[in-house]
Parts: sequence; C-alpha cells; structure tokens
Amino acid sequence: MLLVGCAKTRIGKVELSDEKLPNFLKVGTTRAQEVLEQIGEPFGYREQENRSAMIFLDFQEDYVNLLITEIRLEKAYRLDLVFQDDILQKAEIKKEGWGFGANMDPQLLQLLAR
Amino acid sequence: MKIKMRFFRIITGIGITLLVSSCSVSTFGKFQADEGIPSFIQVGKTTREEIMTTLGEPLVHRFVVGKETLIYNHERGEYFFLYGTYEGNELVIRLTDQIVSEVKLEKTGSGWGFFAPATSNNPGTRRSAR
Repeated sequence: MLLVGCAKTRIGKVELSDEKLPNFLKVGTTRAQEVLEQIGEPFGYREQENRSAMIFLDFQEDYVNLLITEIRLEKAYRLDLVFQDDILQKAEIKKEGWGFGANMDPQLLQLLAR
Repeated sequence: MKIKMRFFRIITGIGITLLVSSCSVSTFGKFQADEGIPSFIQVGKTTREEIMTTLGEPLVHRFVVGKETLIYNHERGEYFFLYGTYEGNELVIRLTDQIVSEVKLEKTGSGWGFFAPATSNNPGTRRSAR
C-alpha cells in the first residue's frame, strides 16, 4: 500500500480533450466579449488593428506510482480563436502534445534483487 | 512485561507513522484566492494606482477587447501526510479610465494526489497556469 501512489492534475478553463468546440462558439456570430464571459480570461491574447486572437489551454496529467515503476500520462490541447471586428472568424482545437513516461527505479530494483 | 510490550508497540506505531508522513504548503502569487476578491477593490471606485500600490505589479497587464486588464494569479499546493492538493486561481481586473469596472476570480486549475503530491504541487515552477 505504501509503495502505491496516484495523482491527477488539470490546468485550463475549458475542457478540450474531446476535441469538440464549446457549443456556444459560432463562427460569424459569437463576439469576443461572450467568450470572456463564458470561458474567462484567455491564456494568450493579441490585438492588431481590427483583428484579435485568443488562446486557451487544457492540460491534463495522470500519474501512477506502483512499486518500482512510475507512469505519467500527459495530454495538452489548445483552442485558437480569431476575431475580426470582435466577431469570431476562426475556431480551432489543436492537440499540442502528449506524453507517456515510464520509469523504473534501478536502485530500488537492485535493493529488491538483493 | 505486557506493559513494556504494549509501550514498545505504541512507540513502533508512532515511529512508522512519522516515517511515512510528511507535509508541505507552497504558495505563489500576490493575493490570497481563498479569501476571495480583496475587499479594498470596489467597482467604480478603486483606481489602478491603489491596486498597484496594494498588490504590486500584476503578472499580466494588457488590453483585452479594448479594456485595460490586470491579472494577478495565486497557486497553492498542499501535501499533508498522504494526500496532496493543488489549486490555481487568478484575479482578473478590468479598468475603464483607470477605475475598476469589473473584477472576478477565475479558477485556472486543480489537482489531487493520493500517496503522492498533486503533480503540480510546486506552484509557479513545473507547470503553471501562466
């Protein structure tokens, strides 16, 4: 029991792991202000003349430690929103990356072998 | 003899408990999210200067949809005995003519760990909401 552990962490204001856009986002009608109200402050924001872009991130990490092995699963998604005159012109979800880490502690392995 | 054995068991039990237990609390940020929106901030009254003087320089200072925005974040990681938690929040303040026009507290992340710290348990270091 003492050699087992698990952890779960999520960072982000919007769930993107199903790679589906939030229902309220409609290209050509949704306003930037609505996005701020529904999702909240974006991670990244840039304005240039009458165009603006918002970036939201969703990062999820699962960690399991079992005896001498640790397994770490990471998933990261990014929602890009582009506005023209404050109206949504483009909405896209990108899978930013994923990670799988498995590590066996060689020192503990040696100790158990002895 | 029985009393000695019982005492030995109690001491051993306490010793093992202490060996497997640990605790830590880490925080990062210039405000306390668990206390809510700082009471000195009042919509329509508080000025940018008052906020800067009280809370210090914000983590992010930018214009969003035409409004001056200040963002302060707060992350807290706790690990007691065998269970750890992590929570991230940010204080978003919008200004109109250098006066607060909107203020809100938004959650940026959370986590837990059982027999292991929540993996983002070191705020502001490994993974951070900003």
